[in-house]
Amino acid sequence: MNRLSDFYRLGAALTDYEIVQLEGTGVGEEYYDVLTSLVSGNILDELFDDYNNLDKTCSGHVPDEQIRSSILANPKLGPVARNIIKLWYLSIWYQLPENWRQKYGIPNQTKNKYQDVQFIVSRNAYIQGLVWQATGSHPMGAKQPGYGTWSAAPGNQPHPVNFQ
Amino acid sequence: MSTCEQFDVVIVGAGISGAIMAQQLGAKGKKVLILEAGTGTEDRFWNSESEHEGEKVKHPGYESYMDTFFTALAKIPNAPFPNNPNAPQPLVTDLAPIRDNQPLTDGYFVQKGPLPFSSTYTRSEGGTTLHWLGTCLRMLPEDFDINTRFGQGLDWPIDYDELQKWYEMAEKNIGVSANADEQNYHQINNSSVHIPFENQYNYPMEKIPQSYLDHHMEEGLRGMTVSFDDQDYPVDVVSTPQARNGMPRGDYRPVGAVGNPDVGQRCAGNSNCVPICPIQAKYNALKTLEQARKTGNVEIRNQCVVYDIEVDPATNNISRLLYKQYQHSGSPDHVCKTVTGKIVVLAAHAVENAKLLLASGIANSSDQVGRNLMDHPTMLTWGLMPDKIGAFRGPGSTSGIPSLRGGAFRKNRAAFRIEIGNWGWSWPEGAPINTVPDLIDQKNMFGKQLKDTIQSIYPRMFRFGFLVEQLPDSNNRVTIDPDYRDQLGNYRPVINYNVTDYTRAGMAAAKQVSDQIFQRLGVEGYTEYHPSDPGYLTYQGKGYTYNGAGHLVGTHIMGSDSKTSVVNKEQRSWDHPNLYLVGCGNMPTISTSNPTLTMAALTYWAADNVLKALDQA
Amino acid sequence: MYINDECKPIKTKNNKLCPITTIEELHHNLQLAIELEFATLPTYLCALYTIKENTNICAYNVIRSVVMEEMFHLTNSANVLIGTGGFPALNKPEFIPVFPTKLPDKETWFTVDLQKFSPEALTTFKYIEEPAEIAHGLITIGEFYANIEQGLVHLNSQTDVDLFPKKTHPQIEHKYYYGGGGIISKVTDLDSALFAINAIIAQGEGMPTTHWDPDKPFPLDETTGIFSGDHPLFMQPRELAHYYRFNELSAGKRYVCGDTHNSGPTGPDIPIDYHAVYNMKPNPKSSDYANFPELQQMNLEFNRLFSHLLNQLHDAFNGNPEILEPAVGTMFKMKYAAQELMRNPVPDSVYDYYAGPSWEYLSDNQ
Ligand SMILES: Cc1cc2nc3c(=O)[nH]c(=O)nc-3n(C[C@H](O)[C@H](O)[C@H](O)COP(=O)(O)OP(=O)(O)OC[C@H]3O[C@@H](n4cnc5c(N)ncnc54)[C@H](O)[C@@H]3O)c2cc1C
Repeated sequence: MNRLSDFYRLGAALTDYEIVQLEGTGVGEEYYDVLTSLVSGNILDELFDDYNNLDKTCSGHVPDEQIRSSILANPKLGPVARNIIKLWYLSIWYQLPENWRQKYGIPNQTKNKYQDVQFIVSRNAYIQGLVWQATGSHPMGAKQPGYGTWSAAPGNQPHPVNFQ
Repeated sequence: MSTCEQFDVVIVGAGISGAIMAQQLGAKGKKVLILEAGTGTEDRFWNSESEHEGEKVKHPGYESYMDTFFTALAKIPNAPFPNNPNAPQPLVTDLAPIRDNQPLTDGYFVQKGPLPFSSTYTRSEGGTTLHWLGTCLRMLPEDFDINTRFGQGLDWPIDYDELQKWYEMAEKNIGVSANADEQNYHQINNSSVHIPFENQYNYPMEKIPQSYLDHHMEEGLRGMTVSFDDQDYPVDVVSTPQARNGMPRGDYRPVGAVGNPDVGQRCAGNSNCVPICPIQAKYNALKTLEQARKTGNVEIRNQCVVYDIEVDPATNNISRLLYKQYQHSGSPDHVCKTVTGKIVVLAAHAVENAKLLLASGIANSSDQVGRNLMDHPTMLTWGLMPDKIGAFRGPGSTSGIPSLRGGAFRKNRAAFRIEIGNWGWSWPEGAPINTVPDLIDQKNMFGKQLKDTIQSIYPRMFRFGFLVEQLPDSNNRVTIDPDYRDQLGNYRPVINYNVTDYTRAGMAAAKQVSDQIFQRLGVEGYTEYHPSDPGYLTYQGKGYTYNGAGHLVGTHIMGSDSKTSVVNKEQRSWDHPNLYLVGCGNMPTISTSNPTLTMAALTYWAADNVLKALDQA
Repeated sequence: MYINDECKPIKTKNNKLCPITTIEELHHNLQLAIELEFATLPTYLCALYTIKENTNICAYNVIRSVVMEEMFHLTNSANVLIGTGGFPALNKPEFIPVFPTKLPDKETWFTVDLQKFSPEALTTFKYIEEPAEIAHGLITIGEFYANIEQGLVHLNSQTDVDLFPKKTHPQIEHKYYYGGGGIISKVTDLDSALFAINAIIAQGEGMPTTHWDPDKPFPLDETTGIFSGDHPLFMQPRELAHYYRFNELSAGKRYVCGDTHNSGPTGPDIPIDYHAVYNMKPNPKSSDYANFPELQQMNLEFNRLFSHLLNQLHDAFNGNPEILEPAVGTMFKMKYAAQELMRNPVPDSVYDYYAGPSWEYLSDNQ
């Protein structure tokens, strides 16, 4: 079972972006690395397995209510899932809630690359935050759109090409 | 004394004012030394490494600032620049309300209040223009004599006409993009704000395209007026002149990034002017410093903090400068050195210039050094436009509402300029980074709902900034106190600051204008001012919050009387014939324009005066 | 780069270019110039975009500088074409080579692929930019442009030819072209037309000279950027001919004082990391994504942007130069779209390849 692809699959459901878009950020593995260093393996197994076992509609889609009730509302899995959303949208790891840490947390160890405190994953990750796309702009300070583009109406796409 | 180095001119500070001075003098063959307190990048864009006696030595370039910026959690104006305890700098995160007369001492400033002084600056080679926005407005003719006209503040010893040719020079050399036929404001139906321009004159580059929001606002407000003291004033949206590369006019060539000149020849819409333009399409003083170095006559010595200035009692001339040179910003180890110049120029910025003069006990026969500290208390209002206006795109601000900058109301209350912000709620709320977690953690959104919410709300965000005039007030001041020093043993600035009713009344009028504009455009208002805001104040029972504009003005004002001012109109100290002060500290009033263009114009003039003085000697 | 009638329709006789004697022939040659300059761009840009963010800075800058110069050449040729009353055409599928494409190398042919930044890519780049001096018996780009110059001179001397008509489309002014490459000038008469073409020749491989000596050290000056000491702008591309810029990269060393064509670069190392590169499948095709609709969609999006760019450039060269402004925005979008593809593995790929854009022009009815 490839956990990285599970991570993308769950990420796609939690963010409403397609897997190719998540892979297209190029930083999914970095996020996965952060996640697996700060959340214990069996919790992640449970999270991914739970998601994979949710009932799908005939189009292969998992209804939102199911994700909400079995993952986001689950005291063990919910905070992890919310952190995954924040990783994809903001490229920031947020410290897990106090009560969660007491129950399930891995104690911070100085030798670890990552600690469970708030941090920006990396320079490259920061500019891949999905929030910028969703906002219809670009990460501030990167992926420059070009001179004068700010004058155009928002979301303005090039003249549509007729594919049919 | 034989080891003391000699130069024609020694300049303290490698910001825009020091850079202009050095470049102008170097180009005329004068031997110039700049002493800069902070660390620097020395014309490098990229980080590089070299080998020195078998050890790898790192040479950070401008890109090192980008690395720091991207990984900094708090993206404050000083975020990209080194936190250097040998040349500390104020940070907006140091601010808090001042309660029960307890001074704030946690940051670099010692803030005695009653209100906190909220503006910051940068102590690194290149100075504060590394993170300025680049707005380059001229002052109005009436701004030069508000005392005579309105019985408020001080008159300048010079007028607009005298400064005009230096404005032109500054606009050309800094590289300002704008159209003269808009910036003369002759299209505005308020003659108080009209600015005369030389007939054939135009800016070196065409105006920066206005944002979609600007156009939207311009249409929505067309024909709108507001009334003050029974007089109607127009509310007109006008593009803002900016030190940002646009389409060149004639033979002008936009100057790209230092050390990487092919990039930055046009603004590419990185939407990050403050804290740092990644491609240097926005002017910063590194460009002028590079031109200064290229004259072959200018040496820039980083990591040299000037802490004392000595005077020859026989002539009252400055005899030498004392500075501390350090190797690493991490360690306070340093050596003390001295240097002399036929002429000395202080260009360390308003607070630091005043601090240095006070520490040296010089140039203060008027007792005005450190006094009259001013800023533009900046009040924000924010909301959601009914439709998407494409927030978070383009330079920080491409237009404003300048039509209320002048008028008879200045007898009673402060004037203001309105800045239209292109970056949604990034200033007032830290959006999107600081606001999206709330959608996930508190509003319990995920998936499509989360994405749809961001897609539908964020592009509608917008904010105004009201830059309100503040008058010179001798109680708003920088002092020093032996109890407060930095790690090198140099003084930290101690600041007393308040906002008078004249300015508060301006804020109240500004809020009314904002309310009327919101009503007219159907903006869903979200503005809130809280007593927990560091800049919270009240006026006639209502609360308002100001922020710092970064416009530190008036700590060594110029005047025509040596008893009430620190420098004369040549920007020379009244007390010491070979000492010139440059920077916004010279400005007797702040008016409603961001000060740097006016200051740069004054500095070109000062450089001319220094040249004449050197040639006469 | 060499030209012969097999690769592009051009009149030659005994492997010599035929003199240009009519306006139509002149326009044909200038249109060809535009196509030749453009043809290299997908190759260079593909390699450029596979370089991961903030890595291989020197290589990135060098390739980018060459791209900017090719665009400069393209724009200069277009201005001469416009200035002599012609109409550049960029919005047609034939404008884009199909990759892998063939270019002649001395007696044999060599293949130009779309490929990731790699030693092989640099070898191809060097082939493309091989100096005129070592190309005996072949028609070089330098000769091709020289022939255009002779044609201009000849036509200008004909009394019955209005070579520089008063009414033409507006040309691209220097204010619309920036970011390196050179400064665009307006073409109004023979001198300015020759100036524009000369700028291309001077920057490209140059004209073959009989006294070229491969063992003679490069001149030390502003035009080569080779200085005796360590150059302060270490990561900056230099004014060396494209071939030598690429050769520095493939050797991983800088040219220094005293180096010659034959010695190659002997100076300090250039840090190059071939692992910090997206492993793009060579010559990506839309058919590669037939079974992967999401990737297909992304590639389509890229081609849509690419086609839009060509349409914009076409419009800019045909009456609306201000369209060059948004066209730059389209180029940035293409980069981001290409990189999104390049970060996606091609499912089931034996070589662990990643996707890449196929650079196809979609005309309106496609
Ligand atoms: C967020 C922000 C936005 C701004 N936007 C605008 C704008 O849009 N328009 C505008 O007009 N203005 C703007 N400003 C203000 C503008 O940046 C300053 O007015 C300008 O940079 C001041 O230039 P300066 O050369 O006098 O000082 P600085 O640029 O601050 O340079 C002073 C230099 O002196 C050095 N120095 C200090 N002390 C010593 C010492 N003891 N020894 C040696 N060296 C020393 C410092 O390290 C520094 O490098 C903004 C400011 C901020 C903070």
